[in-house]
Amino acid sequence: MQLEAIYEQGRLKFLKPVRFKSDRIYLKVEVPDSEISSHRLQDIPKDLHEQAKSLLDRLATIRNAPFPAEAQVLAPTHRQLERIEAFELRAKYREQQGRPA
Amino acid sequence: MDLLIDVCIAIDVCSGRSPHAQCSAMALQHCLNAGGQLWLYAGSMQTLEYTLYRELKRLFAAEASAPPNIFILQRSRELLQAFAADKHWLAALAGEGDVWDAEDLEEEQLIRALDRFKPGTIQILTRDNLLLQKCKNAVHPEDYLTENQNTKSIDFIDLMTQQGLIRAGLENAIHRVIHHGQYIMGPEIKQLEEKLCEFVGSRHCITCASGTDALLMALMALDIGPGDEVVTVPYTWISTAEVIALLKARPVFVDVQPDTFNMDPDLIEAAITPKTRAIMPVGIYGQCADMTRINIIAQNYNLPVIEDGAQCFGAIHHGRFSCKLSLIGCTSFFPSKPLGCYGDGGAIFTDDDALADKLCQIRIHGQKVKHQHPVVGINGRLDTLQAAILLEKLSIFHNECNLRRQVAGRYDALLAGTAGIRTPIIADGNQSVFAQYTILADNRDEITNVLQASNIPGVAYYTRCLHLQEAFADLGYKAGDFPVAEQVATRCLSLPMSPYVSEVEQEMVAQEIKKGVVSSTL
Repeated sequence: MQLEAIYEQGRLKFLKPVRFKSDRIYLKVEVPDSEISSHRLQDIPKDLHEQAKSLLDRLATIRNAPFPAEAQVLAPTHRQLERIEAFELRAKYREQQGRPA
Repeated sequence: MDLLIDVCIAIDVCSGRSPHAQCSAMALQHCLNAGGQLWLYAGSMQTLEYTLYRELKRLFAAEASAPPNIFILQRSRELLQAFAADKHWLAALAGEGDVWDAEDLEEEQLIRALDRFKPGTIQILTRDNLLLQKCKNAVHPEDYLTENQNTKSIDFIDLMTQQGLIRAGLENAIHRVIHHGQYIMGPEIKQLEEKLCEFVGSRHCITCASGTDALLMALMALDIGPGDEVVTVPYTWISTAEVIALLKARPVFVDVQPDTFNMDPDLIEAAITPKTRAIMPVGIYGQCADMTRINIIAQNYNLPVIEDGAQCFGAIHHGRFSCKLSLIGCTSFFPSKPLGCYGDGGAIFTDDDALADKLCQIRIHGQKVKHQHPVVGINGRLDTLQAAILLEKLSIFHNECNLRRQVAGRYDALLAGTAGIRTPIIADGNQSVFAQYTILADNRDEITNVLQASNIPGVAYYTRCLHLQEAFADLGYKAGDFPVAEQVATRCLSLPMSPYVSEVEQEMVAQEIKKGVVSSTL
C-alpha cells in the first residue's frame, strides 16, 4: 500500500489518517533526489580534516600501544564481568532499535 | 555553540570506528575552532567505559592474538582519559535522576542536562536517530559540519575560561555549602578571611557584602559623619563618593595624575581643611595610587587613609600588596574584578585590632554578642556561597595576576607607536593587576564604532566624572574644576581584558583599533 506523507524535522506525518497494528514497522519511503542534501564530507575545509586526523592518530597511538606481558595479567573481577554482560545487553537492545552503541 | 557529546560519538572517535570516526572527530574540531566548548556528561562514565571496551574487544578480536579482556578494559580507560582531557565534565544533577518514566534513561538524562544552558547555546552531538528525532537540540555530525558556526565573539571580560579550569572545585564548593546549610557566616567565611590575610599580608580581614559596603563600613568604623570631609578623586566608580555622602559627610575631590589617572598627591594638601577626617585614594584600572606619598601627607595631618582597592586587589606597590598599604584597605569581589565571586562581595583589611573588632560589629548590625548592639551597623555579611567560590578562585589568583600582566604586555607591544593612542603607564614601584586595560584614544568614538562593527567590545568608562554627576550637584563643583579627570573621561577606552585573552584575539583588537585610527583621519 502506498501512502502520502510529509517529512518534517525527523517525523513523517501521513496526509490521511491511518492506524497501524504495531508501534514500530518497517517502511520504504520514496524521497525526491532534489531533497537530498548534496553536502559531502570532502567539501569540508582541508585543515578540519587534518585536525580531525591528528586527534584520531593520537588516540590510535594509545589504542595500538603494546600491551604488558601476559605474566602480569589479572582476570576481570566478578563485578567487571557483570558490567560487561549488562552493557552487552544494552548494545544488543540498541542494535535491535537501529541505534549506534 | 557548545556540544554535549553523546556516547556513540565518543566511541567513534576513541575506537576509530569506521566509517564514522573522521566525521565525528571533525564535528568536535569544528566546535572548538568556532570557540565552542565540548562537554561530556559525568553520568555517562560507566557507559563510556564499557561500550568502548566492547568496541575495542571487537577490534582486537580480528587480530591474531587478542589481548586479555582486562587489558582491553584498561586500554578503554586510557583512551577515554586522553579523549576527555580537553573536554568539560557536565555534572549529573539531582533533576536528572528521576527519569524512570522515560523510554531511554541515558537519553532523557542528556536531554534534561541541556536545560541548565542558555537556549541556543548547546546541542547534543549524536548519530542516534531516535535521539535526533526526540530532541530538537540534537544534531548529527554531518549536519553540524554543514551548519555555519558563528565564531565566538571576544568577551569584554571572559569568566567562562576560568570557570572551566576550576569547575570541579567550584561545583564541590557550592554543593558543600548547600549540604552543610550554614548559608550565613558558614565556615568558608573564616577560611576565606584567613587565606586573604595570608595573601595580602594583613593582620585582619573582614569580608563583607560588597566593595561599596567595605568602604561604607570603613568610614563608619572611623566615625565619619555629618559635616566631616573626606578627600577623594572625581575619576572613579560612584561608590567611592557615594558612601561618603550616605553618611552625610562631604566628598572633597582632588584631580588625578595624567599618567596613572590616580589621585595626584601634589594636590591633596590644598584640599585638606579642619573638617577633613580621612583621605580615600582609589587604585584605578588595577594600579595602586601613590600610597607612599599619600601616607606621608596623611601622617603630617594625622589623617587616616582608606585605600579603595576595589579594582586593584592583587596589585603591588613597592613590594606590598594592595589593601596592605594604609590603615584600612577595601576591595570588591564583583564578578568582573580581578578576584571576583558570582555575585556581590567585598573585604576590608587592617592591622589595627580595635578597628577590626569594630568592623566585625558593624558588619552584623553593630552586634557585639547576641542581641547586644553597642553601635549602629549594617547587614553587611558576605554570603557563605560567595566565600566558597572565592576560596576556589583564590587558589589560582596569583597565577592569574601574572597572566593579566602578560596580556597587558602584549597589548602594549601591539599598540606601541599607534598614532593617537596612549597605552597605560605604570608608575615606578607599581605592578598593576590590570583589572582593565585602558588606553587613551584621541578619536575614541570612531575607534569604538570600528570595534563594534567587528563585534569587539570596547567600553569607555568613566565618561562622566563624579563632580559633574547630578547626584553631587549640591557639592557646587563645575566643569573645568578637575581638568585632568575631565580630559581622561573624554578619551578613555577599555579593551577586552582577562587572564585568558588569547594572542589571536589581542591581534584582532589591535588591528581594529589601528583601522579606527586610520578611518578617523580620513
